[in-house]
Amino acid sequence: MRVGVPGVIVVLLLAVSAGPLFAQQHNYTPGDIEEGGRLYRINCIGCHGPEGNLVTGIDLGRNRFRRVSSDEEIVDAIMNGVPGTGMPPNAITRLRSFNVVAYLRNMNATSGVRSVAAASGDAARGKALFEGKGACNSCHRVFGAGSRSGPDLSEAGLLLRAIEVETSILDPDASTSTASPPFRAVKKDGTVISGLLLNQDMFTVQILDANGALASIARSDLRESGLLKSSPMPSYRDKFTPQELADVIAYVGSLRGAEGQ
Amino acid sequence: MKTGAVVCSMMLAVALSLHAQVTWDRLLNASAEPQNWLTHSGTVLGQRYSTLAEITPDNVKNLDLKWVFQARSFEKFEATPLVVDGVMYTVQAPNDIVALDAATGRVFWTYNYTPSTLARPCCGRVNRGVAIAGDTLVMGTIDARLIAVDAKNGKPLWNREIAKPGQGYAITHAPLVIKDRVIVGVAGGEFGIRGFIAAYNVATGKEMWRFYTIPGKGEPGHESWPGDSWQTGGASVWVTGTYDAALNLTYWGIGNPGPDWNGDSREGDNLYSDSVVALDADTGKMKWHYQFTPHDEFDYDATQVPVLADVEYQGRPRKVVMTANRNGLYYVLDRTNGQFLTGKPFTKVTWMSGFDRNGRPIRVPGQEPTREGTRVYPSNQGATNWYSPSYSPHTGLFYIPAWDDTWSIYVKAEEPYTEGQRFTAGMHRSSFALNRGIQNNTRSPEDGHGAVIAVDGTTGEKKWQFNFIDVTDSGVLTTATDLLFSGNREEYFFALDARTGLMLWKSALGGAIANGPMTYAVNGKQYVAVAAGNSLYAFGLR
Repeated sequence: MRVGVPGVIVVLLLAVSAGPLFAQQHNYTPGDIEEGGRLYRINCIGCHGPEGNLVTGIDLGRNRFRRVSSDEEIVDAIMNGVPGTGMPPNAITRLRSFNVVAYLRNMNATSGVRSVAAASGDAARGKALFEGKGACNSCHRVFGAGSRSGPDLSEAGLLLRAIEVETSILDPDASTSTASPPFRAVKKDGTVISGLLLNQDMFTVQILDANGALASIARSDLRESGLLKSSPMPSYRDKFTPQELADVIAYVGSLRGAEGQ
Repeated sequence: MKTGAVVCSMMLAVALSLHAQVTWDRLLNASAEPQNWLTHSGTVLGQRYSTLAEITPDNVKNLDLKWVFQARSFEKFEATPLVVDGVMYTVQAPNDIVALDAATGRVFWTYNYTPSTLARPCCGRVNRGVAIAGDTLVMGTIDARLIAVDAKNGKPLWNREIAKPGQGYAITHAPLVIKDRVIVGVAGGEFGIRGFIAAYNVATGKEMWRFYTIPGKGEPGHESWPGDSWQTGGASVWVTGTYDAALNLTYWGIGNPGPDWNGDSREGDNLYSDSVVALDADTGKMKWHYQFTPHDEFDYDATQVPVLADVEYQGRPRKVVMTANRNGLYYVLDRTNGQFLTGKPFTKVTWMSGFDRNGRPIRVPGQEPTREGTRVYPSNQGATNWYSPSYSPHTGLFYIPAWDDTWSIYVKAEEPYTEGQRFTAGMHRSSFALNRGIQNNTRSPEDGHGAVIAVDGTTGEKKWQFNFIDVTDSGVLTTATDLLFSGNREEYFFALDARTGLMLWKSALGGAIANGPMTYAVNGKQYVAVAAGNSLYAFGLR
């Protein structure tokens, strides 16, 4: 199993019908929501978490705030912070702050629409499935165990919403725009190289290869190279039952870095 | 004359030249002393071309690092240094002037200036260099001041407020000295300023003339701004202009109209935004203008260096101004009267489809910002931007530091003007960020790439193109030995064969290059200098 981190949200949000879901105050477009999601992941996710509910008393996806309610008030809090709390000012323009609000106003509308709502997951059972039936660790690494050929999921619970994990498992091609996209090259001697692209320039390519090695490859040694158009991860749509899927999602959501163990 | 007397007079001449003031005559004839780099682009013509010839295509592979100056600043290093008789002057961002030994990099003195906390430059606390006149260095600051210091000791001579930083005004480009005056323009196009270019007396800082880049009531062109939109229309200036002594005209590129991405409140051409203007250097009166992007809604500033050259155009000599524009096209104009001669895309362009008989671009319907967003080529950062191009009279080619096949999705919004606040009325979503930061490059080829593109100086016909994987913020330098120096965000500084585009040498400098390379000589030895990351590097032959 390979879970994209964290690209799926873009596709998912664009698929949402815009109008009826929007907050009453502004008519946000799918592009506003997409941009807001990008900004949320950069600026907000560290404290508020992927579901927007990690700060006590606040649940951003369910419009539960301590001191603000209108879009303008939320924008003011984003830009200027909230004195006396841990909420700092953010260097985001007013228009882009409204994009963040667009995302927050639509978080709830985009979650719980599939199997996540159908069954509550059990993280312990999910771990067993991850390492057993799913063989997810043949590609993914968690807390130092497992392959490095796919994204390391040790902090997935801090970065991904449950619905994003679900989409990655069921529809991997919707989540290929990761920070380290899958890469494939063929050397002049015919050797095939695959791995995760980390960096590149005119002369070299830096990857984490399928063997878990950091490798820098000279472009002059390559016959062809490029990003994979589709995810190498198979869909688990017909492999997990709804309950198993919910269990695996619960397990991935419980992965919150080494300090979270 | 006896031999001894000859030697003495030669020594005296050398001594005088070593310590001579930088007179207007020297500035005007800077190409006669290629060991020095006396203005931002090398000469007032803006060609960023040097006749120094020690470094050649054959020996460039022997370039060695001679010294490094590490700026005591984490701001982006965009300044092109000046070199005057062995002394280099540069700016440590945002606004410290540093004098160095050009042969060793050792610091003579530093003038420290702390800009007002009201300063709010749109796109980084940057500066692109100083100007020199006599023994006076002049620098614009991000809090919209003009500061003159003594070139010998860095002591301030005068310090004048040019505009209000709290209203969004700033100065980021290197001033241009013409005769006894220093000419600057104001940045702030994203803050609803009203742009202007002004001349100040080098000795006193007193304003001598001012040209508003947006005409006031009763002036020609004012009708291109409805209502009060002219008062907040931007049209900023943030790259150094050029000068033709015979015509006594100074040429400046003007920035985008504001608000940037929603032109509904400013229906009309919005003169003189996105134009090049030719001003009388003595009075500031405009002789002619040409507008590259009428009623711009894509942030296509025309601030790129207007490069001057005398060329043969369609069989007869012509005084031209050449410029590669942020909007994706290369232009050649007659610089005596602004006549449109050539306009040719050098990258993918979707906002226009050609020119009418007057040289006005024909807009493509549907290619404008919308509430949902419209994809347009080139991207908001442009097909080129403030980074200096080069024109080589030796090859006849114009060299463009380019962003090739990049795009943006332009989104319009409603945004009222509030003094001192950003006034853009929309946004863009692009695959390439304004500044690289610490991001690695894992983008796909579909997002576009950077390049150095060489076009015929008179026809705009593409001659060769050297592609990067990432984009570039580096200027281009060419020399009489047909070498081209440039860099990019991939952190390489490199030399190409200016005739073919073949790479001849490269060095990985460990920081993105965001300034224009320049060259100079000390004691007959040629150096090439460029800043990367937060440091300035000087190379010479082993």
